[in-house]
Amino acid sequence: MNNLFFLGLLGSNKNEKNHSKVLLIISFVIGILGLVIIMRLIEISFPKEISNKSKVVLKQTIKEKNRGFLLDRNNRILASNIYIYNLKAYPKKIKDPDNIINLLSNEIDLQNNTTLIKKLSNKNKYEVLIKKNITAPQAKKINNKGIPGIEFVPVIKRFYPHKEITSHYVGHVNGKMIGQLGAERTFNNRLKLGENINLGIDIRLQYIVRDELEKARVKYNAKSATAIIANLNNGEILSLVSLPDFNPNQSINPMKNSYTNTATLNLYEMGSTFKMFTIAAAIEFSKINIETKFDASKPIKIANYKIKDYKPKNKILSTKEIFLNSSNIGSSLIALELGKDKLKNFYQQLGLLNKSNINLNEKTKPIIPFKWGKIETATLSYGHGLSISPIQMVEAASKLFNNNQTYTPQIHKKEKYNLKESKKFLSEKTINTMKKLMYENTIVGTAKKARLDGFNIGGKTATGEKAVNGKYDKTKLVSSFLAIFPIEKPKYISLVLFDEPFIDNIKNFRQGATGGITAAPVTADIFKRVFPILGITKNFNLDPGLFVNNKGELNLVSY
Amino acid sequence: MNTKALFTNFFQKWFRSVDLISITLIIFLMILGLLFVTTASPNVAKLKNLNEFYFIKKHYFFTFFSLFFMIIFSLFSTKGLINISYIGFTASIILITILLLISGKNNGSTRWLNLLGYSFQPSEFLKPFTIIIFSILLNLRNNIILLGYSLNGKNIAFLLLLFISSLILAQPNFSMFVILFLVFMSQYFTAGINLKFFLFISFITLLIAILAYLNLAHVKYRVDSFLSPNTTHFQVEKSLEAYQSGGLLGKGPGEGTIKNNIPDSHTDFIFPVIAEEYGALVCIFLVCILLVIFFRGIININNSYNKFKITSCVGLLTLFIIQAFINMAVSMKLIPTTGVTFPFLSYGGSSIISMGIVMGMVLSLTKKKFKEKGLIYEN
Repeated sequence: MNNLFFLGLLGSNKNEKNHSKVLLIISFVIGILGLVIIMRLIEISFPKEISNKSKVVLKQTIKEKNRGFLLDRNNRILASNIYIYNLKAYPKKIKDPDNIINLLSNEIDLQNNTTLIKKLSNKNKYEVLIKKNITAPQAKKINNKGIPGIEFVPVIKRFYPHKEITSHYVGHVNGKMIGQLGAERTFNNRLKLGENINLGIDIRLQYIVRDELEKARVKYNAKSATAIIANLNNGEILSLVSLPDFNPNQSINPMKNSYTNTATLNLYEMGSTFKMFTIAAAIEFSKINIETKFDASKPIKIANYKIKDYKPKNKILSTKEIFLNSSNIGSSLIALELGKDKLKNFYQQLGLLNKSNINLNEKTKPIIPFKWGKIETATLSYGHGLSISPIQMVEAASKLFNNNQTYTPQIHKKEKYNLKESKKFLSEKTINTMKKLMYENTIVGTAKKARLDGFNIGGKTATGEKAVNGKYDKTKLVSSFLAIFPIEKPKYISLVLFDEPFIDNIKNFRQGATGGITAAPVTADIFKRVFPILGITKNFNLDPGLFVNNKGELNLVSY
Repeated sequence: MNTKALFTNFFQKWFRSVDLISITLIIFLMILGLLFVTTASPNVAKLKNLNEFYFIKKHYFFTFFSLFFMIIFSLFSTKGLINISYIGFTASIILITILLLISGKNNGSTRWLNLLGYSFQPSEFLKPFTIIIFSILLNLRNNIILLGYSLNGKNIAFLLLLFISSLILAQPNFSMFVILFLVFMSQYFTAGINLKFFLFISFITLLIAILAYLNLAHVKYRVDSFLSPNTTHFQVEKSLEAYQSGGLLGKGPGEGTIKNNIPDSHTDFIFPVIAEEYGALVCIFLVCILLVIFFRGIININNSYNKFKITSCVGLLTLFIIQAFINMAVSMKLIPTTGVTFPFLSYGGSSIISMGIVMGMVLSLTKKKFKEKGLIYEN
């Protein structure tokens, strides 16, 4: 067979030399390809000069910058970068592993000496990691010993000097320096480029708030606790504490309760603070005024539900008295008079039915009632049947007292507050009435324990019962206190909330741990230390005209 | 004549007939390959927990063998080449088939065959022999009766291409399929083109390419990542950085950093290592050497009137230059990522020995012929 082929193959015919043309074409193609390769080579070797002219975009290699710092509003460092050292050993360069491990264990804690010695004796391994996260002084000490075959590898690590104090606000990064929680997550992209960012937090306030809140949480043995102080005018969050918290410098377990930012993630049926919204809506959108009378002498029945008061007065109450006594019956009657659509619409305007607008990634949607009938309108008027997060309460109350529908809580420091953003949705009169009610509540109402002598604040207590298996449990409470201050010209808002507080010395244990008894005095403790920092001074001459148009009304205060 | 004199005479004849410029340039490339692998591979060896000199030692060994095979093959006559190609082709096909069958059982790598402690790729050795077989078939003058059909050589060559393609795509080795196809086309073009048949082949190839894109996950991934401007293949990204940091004159031998990041920096991505350490000028110089070797072969074969020789030589030279071009183009992000070695520069026993055989065949085919008295005559 072979030979048969050759006869045809090897016999050359000198007359047909048309292959030169073909070879020329192939050479030409290959030559062009070679030229393309050379051109591309030149292009990518000197991208700066050429890529401006040509449209080929090479992926720009961003020089890795160190992550930017997080600072508080007064430029105090909240998150910075430090070098730590990982200790590595190269078994091929080590002759006496026992001795080396001995020397090292004098300086640092080594977890398992025998396995390390075994690893170091294995000459097939290129390198062995002995210990991570060694501090610079320790590394220097070990280095001075001159041990052969070991090496320190410097690694940049995120460091949070205030530890637990700022845990949920500032957040933390993961091993790859990517923000996982809090401000680290929100501003990850800007921090990555090396930008330093001022947060709205004031570390002095944060320290005080956490200190007082932790004391109180231990005292009341609460499951969790939250405190927020925010600027009422521009939305900056000055302090946000969620307890329990965690140390972001140590290894973090996201499955633990302490990882949850209760201020933005936990949903509660807040309770009586909603009466502020109900009454404000009633005054604004219906004929009801502060003196309108409602019959709160007996519990009201709607379908199978019975609405009762915590401390029944069993008499006819005015709107004002309903607020000051925190009467559920009264506020239900107000809501039913106002009508469900107007109430729902107002709650919608306050943002209670949507996610909070705060620029933190950790937030949850509120649980809103499946249907909105008569009974829901009644219970929602005093804050049951709708579960919201503490930050939403602050946001809604801020919108109300600031009379600005575009109000959004912000965790970063605002350079200047743009007044044009403001979108009024209530009349000045209603706001003033509400301020007055809030103020009087701290004098004669349920919030007396929040009052500090000489300082004028407004506040509303709230005690929500938690639903357990479809029933409200009177021993599982959510007690909170919302305050705005100074009441003459509100500038700040605060919320203190305890989840399932517990008071020993009250017979009917747990039932007595209401917002007025737990959260209000803690707020006072916080204010005592915070007011000097915020520059709020005592004012004994509160101008009654600020609130009260008719001086005769003042007499009501003293009943 | 005694044996020594016979040997000397034979060698003198070979020395006078072979193209010395080509052989010098190839040996020069081999020496450069030794240098580059020496600087590029220790880090890779470290990464793979091997002795620092592991790859260097092996590469020196294989380069020597490559040179040896090149000279052996350049000694062959055309008839000898054809005979050895029959043997080599059959053996390679059998080995590849066995590998495919074995891998079906133990789900292992399908390209490598372990033999006496060395693993080698039969598909690498298939390349040069296949090219010779293609040339034989493309230049057949008589039709062959196969299963009752009378087929001409070109049709048989095409059927053979389909058969080999299905074998190597089953491995799967998409890059080799592309290379083999381009080589076949160049040979087909040289042997004489038939437009209808050409269109038919193009259609079939397009079909295979689309099927490969849809069915081979790694092909799809690489093509997708090449086409989308945002996601770059990690190795290609590092490789582009290497070109950039190398600049015109490079950082100096052993000073490169890309080899610390890319696990294939001694094989498929050796060119960016060269660019980073020795600079763009050296790279351009290398491309020029490749082109000179190619054009040298083309000029030499142009003197021949033997269509078989011309077709073979074009195929072999195309294989040599296309493989180098694909290797460079991948590292410059001109085409999607695919693993092709750089002739004589990349580490890799099978590929460098196979390339030695290829160039040995080219040298054999382009030998000048002498009359008894020493006068050159055209072959």
